[in-house]
Amino acid sequence: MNPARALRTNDTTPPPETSLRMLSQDDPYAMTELVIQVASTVPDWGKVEAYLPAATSFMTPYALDNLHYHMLSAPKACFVFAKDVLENAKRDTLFSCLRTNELNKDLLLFIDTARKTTEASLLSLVSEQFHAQTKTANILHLTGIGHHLLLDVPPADPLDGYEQYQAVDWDGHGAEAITAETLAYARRIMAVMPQTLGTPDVAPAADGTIALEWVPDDTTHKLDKLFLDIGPGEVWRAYWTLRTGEFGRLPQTGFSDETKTILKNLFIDLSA
Amino acid sequence: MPLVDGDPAAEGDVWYRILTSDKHITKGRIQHAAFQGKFIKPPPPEKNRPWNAEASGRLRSLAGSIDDVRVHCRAYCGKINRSFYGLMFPKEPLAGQTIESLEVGIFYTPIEGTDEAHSDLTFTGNVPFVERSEEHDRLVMALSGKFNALHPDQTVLLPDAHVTTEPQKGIERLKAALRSAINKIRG
Repeated sequence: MNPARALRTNDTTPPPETSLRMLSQDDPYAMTELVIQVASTVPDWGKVEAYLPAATSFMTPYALDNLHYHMLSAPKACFVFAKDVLENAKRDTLFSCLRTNELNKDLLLFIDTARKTTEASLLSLVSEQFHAQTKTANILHLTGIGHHLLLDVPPADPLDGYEQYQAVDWDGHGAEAITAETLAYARRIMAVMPQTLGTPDVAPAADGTIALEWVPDDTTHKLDKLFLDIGPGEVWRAYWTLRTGEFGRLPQTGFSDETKTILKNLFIDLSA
Repeated sequence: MPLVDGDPAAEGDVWYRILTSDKHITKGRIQHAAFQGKFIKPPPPEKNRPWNAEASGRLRSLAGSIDDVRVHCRAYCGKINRSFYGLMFPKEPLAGQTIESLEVGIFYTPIEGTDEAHSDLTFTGNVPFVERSEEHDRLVMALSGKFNALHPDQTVLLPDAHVTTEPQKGIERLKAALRSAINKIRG
């Protein structure tokens, strides 16, 4: 966690209880009944969803058996954990699930169920040290202090921090540098990337490229895997396998008005 | 009989590789970026190996206890000034499999004085070394589904080796040499 990145707001207007729709702890289906919120263009900082990215799932982890399913299916998940759940015997199980599914790209909130109603300190969200591997850049870190909120807004840029890969051998195995040109180009490409397959998993590659991948969890989806490697320089190529075993490939150069259309058509083809 | 340099790993042994980038594990699987760059490279010419490409790793049977594995991972990463971000290991035995027309093997390749458990995942055949070629992309695509990922605190989940038979060293070496020779003739 990086408290230095926290911002303070004095707007303490609490979100209505219905915005959380937290279910009772004895409801075994709590995980399947929660809210999918839509991002607002004008954030209302008094509402918890204002701090969340688009298409965020609100969940409570009462039914741990269902947790795994949701972790895999939610494109960008926000897990609202009741503090009392964390303090009970299920805590280790819960954290084990988190590690297994590497949810550290997503948001993790800790909320005190006692304050889930319309108290001014509703967003008394308690963050905890939970896993050394958690990517701090992607954590929404809220802590209630009286009527104030501390928040750590998740970065919109999935390439945040990629400047560290501009040095050769960044992996200790002789990796090529990801140049500033490649990084800038990747940002342009990703800005026009269709969202129909969800958010890609992004990683630096040792050949100087930035590697995006989509692997649908839905086994009935036409697409098995889609990889899209950007760079080095102003080139990208997509390659994929369908569940039929068919392999496809689309190399491209540069960036033009057509780039967005090419990507859109590719994603439509792979989704249909 | 103890393994010597160039021996095939025994059936039931587990090859694993250390990950030095946190982003190469995603949702419990290995992100395909982990297979780019120098993941596979030609063997050193002076070794005269009977395979065409190799990926560095270690043999579980020689790595000691899980604590030993963990200690080695951290020491290794410390030595190259990187953080230990996890391990990858095959989902199923890969030795003997053919991936994108490449024969896969696991061979013992100790690094004297540095890593006595060192082992290579080997590829014999017409290896597509040209990055970003279609053949290379196909290989990356195929490899990406073959491995499990473990975070550092999941190291305990690395499977133990279950070595039940002595490796068929002579036969395996002969087969590998023949495959390599045929491949060289084919150009």
